Amino acid sequence: MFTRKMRRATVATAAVVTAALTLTACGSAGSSTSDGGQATGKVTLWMYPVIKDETASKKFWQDTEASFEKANPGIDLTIELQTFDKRDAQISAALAAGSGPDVVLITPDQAATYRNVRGLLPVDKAVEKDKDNFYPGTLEAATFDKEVFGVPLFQNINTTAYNTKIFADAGIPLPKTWDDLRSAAPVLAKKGIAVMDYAGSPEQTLNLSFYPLLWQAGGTVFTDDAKDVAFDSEAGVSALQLLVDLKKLGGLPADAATDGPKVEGAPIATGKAAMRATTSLPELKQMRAALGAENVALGAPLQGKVQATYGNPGLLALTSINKKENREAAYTVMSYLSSAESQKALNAAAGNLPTRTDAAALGTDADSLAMAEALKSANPGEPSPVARQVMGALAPNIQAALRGDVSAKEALDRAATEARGILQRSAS
Amino acid sequence: MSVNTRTRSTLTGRHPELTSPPLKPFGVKRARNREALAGILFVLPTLVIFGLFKFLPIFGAGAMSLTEYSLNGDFEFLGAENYTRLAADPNFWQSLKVTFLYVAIFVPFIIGVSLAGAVLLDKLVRFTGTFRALLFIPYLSSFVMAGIIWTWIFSTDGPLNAALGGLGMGPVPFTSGPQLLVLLSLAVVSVWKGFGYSMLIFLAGLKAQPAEVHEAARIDGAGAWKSFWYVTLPLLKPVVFFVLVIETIVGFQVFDTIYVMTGGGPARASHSLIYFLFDEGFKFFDFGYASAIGVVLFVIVLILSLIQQRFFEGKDSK
Repeated sequence: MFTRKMRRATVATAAVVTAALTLTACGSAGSSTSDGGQATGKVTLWMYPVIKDETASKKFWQDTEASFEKANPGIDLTIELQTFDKRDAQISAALAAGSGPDVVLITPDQAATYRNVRGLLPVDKAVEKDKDNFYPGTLEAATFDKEVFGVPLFQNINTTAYNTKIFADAGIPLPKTWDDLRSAAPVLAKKGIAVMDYAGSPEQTLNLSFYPLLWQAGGTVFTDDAKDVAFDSEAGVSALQLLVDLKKLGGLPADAATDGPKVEGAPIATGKAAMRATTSLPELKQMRAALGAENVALGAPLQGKVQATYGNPGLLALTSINKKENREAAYTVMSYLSSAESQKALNAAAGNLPTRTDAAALGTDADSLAMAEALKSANPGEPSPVARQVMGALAPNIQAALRGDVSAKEALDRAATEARGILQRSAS
Repeated sequence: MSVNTRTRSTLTGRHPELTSPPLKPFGVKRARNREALAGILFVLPTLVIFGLFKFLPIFGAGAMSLTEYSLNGDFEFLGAENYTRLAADPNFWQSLKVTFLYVAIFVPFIIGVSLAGAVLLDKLVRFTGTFRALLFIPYLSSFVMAGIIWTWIFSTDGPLNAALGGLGMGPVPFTSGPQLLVLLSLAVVSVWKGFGYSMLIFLAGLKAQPAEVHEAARIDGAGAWKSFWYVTLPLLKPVVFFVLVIETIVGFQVFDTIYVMTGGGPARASHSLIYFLFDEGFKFFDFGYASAIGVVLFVIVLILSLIQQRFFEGKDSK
């Protein structure tokens, strides 16, 4: 499964990198319905801080709302800015109450979960005109049972960021492999610095913490047919053992088991940790602001058995509370926002990669090139209807292993037993 | 009939100052009915609001707990399946244990602190209002803000560990260490945030106590401690019961502090029943199962409140 996914991601990557070098003409957003009429209605969209600067984000989405309504006078679009914190809880509570958004930004594994609980509607109509312009990999990540459940808005990539000053002062090279990490950990620990930041909070998606290590070990979360979990494999144990070893060597921050994902105030921003394995471009900006631009550099994703990182398309999904009379209007919104022109503007503001061949990609500066390179080993996550429940079973057990309550193997065995119960219930 | 007779006798023979002619039974009945109707009309808005926002959700949750409920409103009747699943779920028993442990730490802690605060405020002769306001301020602050600040205070690099480091101790893993330490740390935050409310209730109870009883105790030679233990506290018993019930319920419903500070961790060390409900309902969208957890919690709190009531009534009757 991993190999297949990696191949898929590589194909998508090659296309993105090509697009970065050959900018093509922009697409256009249509406001007409599928039967040729003008779409009308009210649409509420929940957007998240893909643009990290709060003021810039607010202005960008206000302008987007205004320009959309100008181009589509029959549609009343409301873009509500939410926070990433407790996103699932907010969305599910709103949908359960019937008061949520028509359109919401989610990840592929969230799409799989929400679809499973009948919280999403297919959006094939929103992409049918432009389907050939999207990178196949991004649409594939949103496709379940031959139906598309999310319009790819942007591609988000994470890779390793280093506090180069710490490594230079210690006289050790930037760690690129697991072995490098194990060697650097005790050297930096003597100076009171953790070699790697890690966010073990159960509120943190494992796509940005444990799963990249699992993929680097050559493992997967689920089996190929997604009917069983596979994280309790030897690869899984070696990935968790790496964290346990680093913790013992003083290579992880003292609160790693409970730390959240934020850069602000985190050990990586205060110089108490020397590198962060999954950093997006906006987070890189925050690190540079905290540590000085000259002290921070991007590198390739870490290498275990293989090189791997997390890179997912952000999907605009249509929720189950969208009324039929507003359906065409919602398709129009999704089509407009995912158009080449809108993607160019969003990516310029947010620093993400496009999901279409006809939208401009990142520049040719060192950061952009590092991200484009990281895309080659990006895994979009393993969409499963129970992806989030399995994370819920796995995260506390990873914490237990990090605290030394249980061994890496025991932790994964316990989590696997729980996860298999979840899968069994989901199948029945 | 007997009511009418009693009313008539009250209005006539036993009150010679009333000179108006006696009301006929029918008139009295009508007046009483009107009075009752007025009473009902007065409480009706509250009853409607209470029914809509308290009772209806309770019955709704009860009904939902018997189903598998989807986000789009579709549901399938499951009978007691969610409850049998709950009984066999080790995470439920773990959360129940966490909740009872937390309540066992939190309730005596908050009652002790708020009672101590109230007694001190009661003794103050100057700046009473100022101190009362100052001690009440944490209650008005937001849980999220309090949680973020206390997370920093408790962190390995935080001021508390810095102070302990100065004394050659620590660092203490307040929110990532052993379960009892984590629950105690969470209880500290909840007590800091919530004691102002109970303190004011205790203070009202203290102010209502007759001064002559305390004076008599003093004349009889009782010191401050004896006076508090044998006079103040027994007189305060109804208030203590009220606060005990309220704080027990608050303890069982602990969520915000955990939500902000530990996310139920580490390793489910603070995964309370409400957090378990939150995870199942709002993270995993298993609303039927989450409702079953809510119903079980409701029953537990109800039973405990009844036991507490019996206990205090029993003590009163002795």
